[in-house]
Amino acid sequence: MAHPASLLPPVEGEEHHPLQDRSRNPVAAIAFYALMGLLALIFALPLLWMVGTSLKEESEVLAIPPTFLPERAQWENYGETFRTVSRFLWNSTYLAVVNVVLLLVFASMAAYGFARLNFFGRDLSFSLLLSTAMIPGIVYLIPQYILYREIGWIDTHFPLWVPRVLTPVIGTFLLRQFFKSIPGELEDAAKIDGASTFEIYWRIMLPQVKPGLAAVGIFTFLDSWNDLFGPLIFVNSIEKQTLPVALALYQGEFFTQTTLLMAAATITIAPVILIFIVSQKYFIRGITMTGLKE
Amino acid sequence: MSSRNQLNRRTLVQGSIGAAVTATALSTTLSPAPALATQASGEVSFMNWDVVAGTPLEAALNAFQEQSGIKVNVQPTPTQDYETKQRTLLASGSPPDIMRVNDDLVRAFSVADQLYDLKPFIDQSGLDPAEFQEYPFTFPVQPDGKHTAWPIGTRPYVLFYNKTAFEEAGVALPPTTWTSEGWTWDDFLSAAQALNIPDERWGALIYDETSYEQTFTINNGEPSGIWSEDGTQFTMANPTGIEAIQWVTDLTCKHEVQPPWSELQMDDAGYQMFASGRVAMIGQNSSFASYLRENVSDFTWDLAPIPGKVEQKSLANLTVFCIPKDAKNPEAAFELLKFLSSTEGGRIFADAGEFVPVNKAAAAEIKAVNGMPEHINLVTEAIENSTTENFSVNIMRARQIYRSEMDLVYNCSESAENVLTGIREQVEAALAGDI
Repeated sequence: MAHPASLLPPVEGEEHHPLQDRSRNPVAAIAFYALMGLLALIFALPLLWMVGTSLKEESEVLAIPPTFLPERAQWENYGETFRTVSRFLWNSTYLAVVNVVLLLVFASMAAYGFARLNFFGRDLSFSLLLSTAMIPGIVYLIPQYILYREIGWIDTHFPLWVPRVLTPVIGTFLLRQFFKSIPGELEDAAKIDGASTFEIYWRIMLPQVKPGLAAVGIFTFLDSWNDLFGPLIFVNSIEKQTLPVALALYQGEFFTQTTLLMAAATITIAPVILIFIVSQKYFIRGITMTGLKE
Repeated sequence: MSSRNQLNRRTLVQGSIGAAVTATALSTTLSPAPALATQASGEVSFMNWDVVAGTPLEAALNAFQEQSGIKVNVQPTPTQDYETKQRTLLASGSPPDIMRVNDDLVRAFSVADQLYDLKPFIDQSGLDPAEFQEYPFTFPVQPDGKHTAWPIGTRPYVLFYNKTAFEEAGVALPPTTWTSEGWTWDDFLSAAQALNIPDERWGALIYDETSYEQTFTINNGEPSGIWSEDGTQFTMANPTGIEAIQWVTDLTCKHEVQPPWSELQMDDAGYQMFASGRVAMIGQNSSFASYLRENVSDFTWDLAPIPGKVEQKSLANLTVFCIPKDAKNPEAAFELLKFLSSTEGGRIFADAGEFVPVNKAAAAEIKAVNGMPEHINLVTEAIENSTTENFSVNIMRARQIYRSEMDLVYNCSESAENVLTGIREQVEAALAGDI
């Protein structure tokens, strides 16, 4: 893993960045890591509180003085919560997989077209595509609902993946930037070898943008996984609902069972954290490379 | 919290989600019994902003299904974004047959002609209005005579107190009937000060439940409370209203017997503070009793009247349902509403302490059993002494404006006079529909 200081650009007029100099000094390095550790702890506190609370009894939640750890861990909170949310977990998982896989297919094809193919109205089309992202969803919610009702999509999962997959604006934008950064010689060589446009896209260009695909995939996963609004509006049957709705159902009108809510929240975010840990290299690389131009 | 209570609590909450999955399937298999009404049949879709499974409402729905043979399809929609879904469904013309509705919105939805007029059903069914408490029954009647909603219960605003703390501190207990004798604002403040133990327990918590705005304003002598009777003026900004708000805020800012506003920003913080013994008295709607029954075992708690001054009023919060105008099966939907407000249906809610049923006979059956506090019967006295807000079409917008500014008062950074007089014009413009 690269040293943190090596990621920083040098300051103009200096041979090294101050942090790079400091990294050679053990005291400065210790201070630097102590500061970073402290910041990491501060950012992790809500997460720790969530996990700690999920193992408490309800009466311990607002105890004075506050505690992070329970007096006696209530592991049964997880057992009971998991039994309750397992159906929702399945719905969320399969929707996330469908969204990620299909969106990457459609977004990468669109991005490749906008980045590497020449056709009439390309830039205007791309601008129009981007402009659709500026319209708040709430503006077209009612017409959208009526449309889905007319085609029989209410209380189905179609509204939760079809529109997202077929109109991947942000994914197309991000991947277009990646495709534009690839040298044209690769494409030319493939053409000389007789590759078709689809073969060039699929066999030559797509492998070059793996970090971008990873970043877009993670964004899509998070978008689908955390979507409360879509299921809430378009799905009526509880057996078709997803995890965010299940979480919201733990908060009643008159009371909230905080410990079970936190156990459900922990179960909900565990896959997200796991995916980020496994793919953070691609994720960070994908995001940082998005700003590069050819 | 005892293990028995934990189990009960968990059963309730787990059941509220898990059992919901199976509730619909189970409901279809219940053996049909004699129908309540010959003309109503089929299915009723039922949208609520709270979980239904595992609650008294589910028991009532099941009882209805058994008797009527009408299937109830519950669509639990969490409180968060409920109104967005409600408005979307109403606007798109595809609403469920029954919707839970915020009583603040009934007037606005009625003006927009989005709710079914229940008056013909009421007339045909021969319901006797005398069987119901007057206010809940007449609340949905609009100026044009249409009866556009159906309250099934009332949750009056009362005071909950930690009886054990009173006894340990040697403080005289509040009255057990709805009287201000020995229970004026001054008496209340004295009790709060005696019960307050710095860094351990707060004496009282009032401003956490917004029902106090109307109640304390009226009790201080502002006759119409927050809004004028015609719904055009922000009368809480009158001098007597301002004085009431400042008095409640001073429990924190001056007397330091009420938790700071900053400590109450987490959901249910006030509930948990009282349940864990960190607040000795709390003003809440009567449904709070069902929470306390499940979560308190370390001390004894009871109900008391709201302290009096010029008046001694409570506030009647309603649990209201409506049948949207575009509902597919309004006849069956009305049969369900009728059952929920019948003696039989109301008894289910009365037994659970969920709220005070609108049916008088059912309400009379509320007793101090099943973990209910000794003086639970005070809720019926509270209803008899209750007031209501003067609703108008634009009340939600006006409320958003002044409530967002109240943080300045509650954080002790501005006086109630400065804030309320400062926003009065804006609030009244909102009431007039100008903003």
